[in-house]
Amino acid sequence: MKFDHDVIRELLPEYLKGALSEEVRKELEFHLNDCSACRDELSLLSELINIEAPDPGELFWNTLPQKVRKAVDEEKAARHPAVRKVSGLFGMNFSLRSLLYKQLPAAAVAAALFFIVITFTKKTETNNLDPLFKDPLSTALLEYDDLTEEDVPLITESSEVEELYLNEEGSSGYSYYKEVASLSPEEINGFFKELKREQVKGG
Amino acid sequence: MRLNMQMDEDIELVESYLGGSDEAMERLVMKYQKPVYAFIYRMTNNIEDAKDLTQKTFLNAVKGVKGFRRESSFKTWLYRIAANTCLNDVRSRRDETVLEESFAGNQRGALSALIEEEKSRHIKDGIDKLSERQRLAVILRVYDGLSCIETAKVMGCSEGAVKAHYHNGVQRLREILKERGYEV
Ligand SMILES: [Zn+2]
Repeated sequence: MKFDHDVIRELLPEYLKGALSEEVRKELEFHLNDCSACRDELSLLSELINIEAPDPGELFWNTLPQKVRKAVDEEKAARHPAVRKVSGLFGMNFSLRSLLYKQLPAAAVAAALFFIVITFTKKTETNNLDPLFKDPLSTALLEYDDLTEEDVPLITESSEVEELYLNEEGSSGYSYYKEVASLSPEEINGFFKELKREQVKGG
Repeated sequence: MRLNMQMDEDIELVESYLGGSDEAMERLVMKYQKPVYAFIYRMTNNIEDAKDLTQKTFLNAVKGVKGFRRESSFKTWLYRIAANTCLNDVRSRRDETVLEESFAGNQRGALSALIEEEKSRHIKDGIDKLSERQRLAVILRVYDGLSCIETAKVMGCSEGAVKAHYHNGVQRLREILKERGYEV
């Protein structure tokens, strides 16, 4: 079998790795004996291989697996409050009684806005799986500073709103897990910042 | 034979992680952290970036492990994530680095000349000057000993393209070294 320069050069990485069969290796060495151009390329490759990556040290190696595990756990943990947060806000239903009898203008305005947001979300989210992160809870539209939990009672009994979100998560395959998993670290950081900001605001 | 056993072991570890074993995930990180770090270091030529991006790579890998379809070995799949993590990072801050390049270049020249052998430094600089694809092909083929087929899977291109990028990369490197007075 006879190799030309191109074939030889393609085989050089495998040659350096010691991954060639005896037969091919001999053929290659035979060619190298006669061909200084291919020999030069081999010597360049062996110099390349000899450049070592600096060792970041034992501490780095020993802690990296735990760091990765911790980062994954943190994302998991963050995901749960995030889900609770979402269902807390969207599941927050407005007792009609409270609106009728208590006559709270702020709550009424918020409620009106809320249903607009929900209707909007309901329409769009079937196509767009990103309501949570592109427009985190539409906080810009809603001002929670004036509202207390009494003003906006948190109802846990079945309600249209809650069902919407339960169904979303269960049946249609929408999941916050997937959502978080598909995000880049930057996006996740941004989301957490948004959530923190929200919590500080008292939402 | 040994390769097959290795692949089986990786797939077992992936499966036990998916089954809830965090230890399995840690073992995978332990097993591949050094080659992944070395690969990323060669792509970035910066130790701090390499450390940071190695961690990001594993985080991305763990988050995406459900998408590992076993069409390739786990190692190839992981290298692909490492390559994408690097390229994303390079792209996301290309604008900043253009501004800083002249400073960094000068500093590196002054400092590392004392530590590194001249020629090694020129080779490293040469690798930096290759296109992303050439650099990937050369590093994966030469340092990581990946075959053309594996490299193609990592780079998401054809085997023929790998051969071309590899060939052009090595030629470009030789030219750069010649320009600097080395016989290669
Ligand atoms: Zn030749």
